[in-house]
Amino acid sequence: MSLNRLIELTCAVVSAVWIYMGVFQYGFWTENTPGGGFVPVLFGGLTLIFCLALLLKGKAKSVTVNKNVFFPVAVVVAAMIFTALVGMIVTLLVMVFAWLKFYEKYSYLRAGVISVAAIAFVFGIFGVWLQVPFPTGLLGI
Amino acid sequence: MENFALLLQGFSVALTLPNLLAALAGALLGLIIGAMPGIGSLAGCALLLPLTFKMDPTTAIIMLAAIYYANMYGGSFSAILLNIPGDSPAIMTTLDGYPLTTQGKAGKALFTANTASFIGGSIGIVLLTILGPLVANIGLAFGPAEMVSLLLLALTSIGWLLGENPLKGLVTAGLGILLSMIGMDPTCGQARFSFGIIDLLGGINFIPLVIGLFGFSQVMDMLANKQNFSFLGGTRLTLKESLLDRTELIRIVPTSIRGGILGNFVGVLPGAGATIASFLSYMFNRRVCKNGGNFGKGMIEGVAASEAANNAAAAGAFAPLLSLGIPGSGTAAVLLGGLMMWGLKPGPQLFSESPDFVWGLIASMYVGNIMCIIIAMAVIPFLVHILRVPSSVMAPIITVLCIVGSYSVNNNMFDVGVMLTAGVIAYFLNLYDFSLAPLLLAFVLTPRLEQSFHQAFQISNGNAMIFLTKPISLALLIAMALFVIAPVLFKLRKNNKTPQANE
Repeated sequence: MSLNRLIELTCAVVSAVWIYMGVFQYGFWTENTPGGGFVPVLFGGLTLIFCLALLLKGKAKSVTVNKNVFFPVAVVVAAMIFTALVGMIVTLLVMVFAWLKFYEKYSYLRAGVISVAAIAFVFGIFGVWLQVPFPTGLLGI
Repeated sequence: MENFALLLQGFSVALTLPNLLAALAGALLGLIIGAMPGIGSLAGCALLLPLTFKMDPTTAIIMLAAIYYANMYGGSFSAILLNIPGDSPAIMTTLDGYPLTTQGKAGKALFTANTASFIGGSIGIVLLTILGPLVANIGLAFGPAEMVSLLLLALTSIGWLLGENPLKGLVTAGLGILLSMIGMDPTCGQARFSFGIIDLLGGINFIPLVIGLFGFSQVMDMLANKQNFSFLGGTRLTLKESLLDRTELIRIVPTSIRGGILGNFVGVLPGAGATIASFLSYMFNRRVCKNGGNFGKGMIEGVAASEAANNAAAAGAFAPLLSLGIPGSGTAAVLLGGLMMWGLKPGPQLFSESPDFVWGLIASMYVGNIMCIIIAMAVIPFLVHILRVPSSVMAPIITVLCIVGSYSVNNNMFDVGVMLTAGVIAYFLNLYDFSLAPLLLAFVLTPRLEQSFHQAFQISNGNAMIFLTKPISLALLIAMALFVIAPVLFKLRKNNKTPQANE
């Protein structure tokens, strides 16, 4: 099955789940007013029709997915894990440095200067000015 | 004439040194906040509200108002340069703004956005001065039934008019609607579609979603087409090179005027706000512009339509806020909170009881609008430096902004997960030509639609005829039906003509 067919099918399944839960869990209509399931059933139904129309009428499209797209996904997942351990600022600093040094093959000096400048800017705006409390992790950094 | 005399009196308040400095500071802060993805006018005004605690109420609200409409200027910067709308009203700006950047015309796009914002903002402020209380009454005529019809019209047109495949537009709009229902039911407080996940009880937050859809998916795209490019290459881009020539100005002025008038009217409607205004203006101008078919491919008219409307709506939102105490948008609600905090009671009496405050504020908006365009134009050469940074450096920095921007909303790593998931889904949707703007717009509009649905049915005791018996509602539903039927009829007519031509 091509990926676009899978997207359309997933959307159709999500719509069906919304309809089912709207009718059986939240209630479509209660006395004189719509229940919590009214809008989910209404728009879930319409979305399901559109998805089925795409599945029936649309053409399967073959696109080669470049493996590079998964690199930033892996980086963010790793950043989420390491934030819990060493805190967000250290994690992001190491993340940018490692990305530039090992993935983009920058020199140590260039990667270091860019990563420190970028994180200092982000910390200045969010941490100092907007007072966002960054997670410090187990090490309390 | 009486309004004009009162406005002159207002200028004597607005042009005092503290108030001028407050407007200047507000314009500068608003531009910075608006340009930063993930903060937006609502969060920006809320975050900066404490800064005004020690100020005189007039000075404080002048500063907050300046932040609010400077945000509309700033929101276009990241939309144009990075394809990340700084706030929801700038969603439509990305459609033409970012393609202009990829064509090496970032300066022109920014200049167009600033010029249109100024024109739209000026129209909004002039109309606020002349028609303030009157326009607010028109907004009052929009009850729940009319609001449902207006939002249904907006949702229908989203799918049909965006993207090359209307069916795919409708599917993504549908997805946006379904996602917006996750969390508490706005009418009865029942938890829905949270599947036992505590973090989903409050629903999916708009900011991580928008950062993921437009920001993180962009990083994935940069790495997929792994070429170390910068959009400007080695070319210099100065203010002079960004200036629009006469032909370009002629192209954007009528669009900006149309967008400004439409945006002001929509901004007055309670709950409609700048997002709907920019969307409706974009769609309307796409229909009436000579080259409307090219909207979405990098047309300066597209940028102008969206930007003029969102600035006019920002000004329009002050009409119901000041004269009726009804906020026209989420940010206006923060301003309302500020007014009440300072002991002012917005409503018809505010004009008679505190004329210095009301007219001082309106006069300060004229001054603030001029300050905004001067500052915004001056920063263009600095902003376009962003484009000189190669994509190999931009990708990790945007990733950091995506992570921190998402986290900062609720100081919760769950939102980073939402951003990541939205980014991955958006990348694959984009790969198969599903337009993302309908998803986001539907996500923003649905809670208001659901609330209005419930209110309308409560008023009518469950009778759906309420939508057909109210003249404004009926007119909007007829317009919606035409939106649905017209493209089908056009297609049938085209199909009938083609065989005849072939014969």
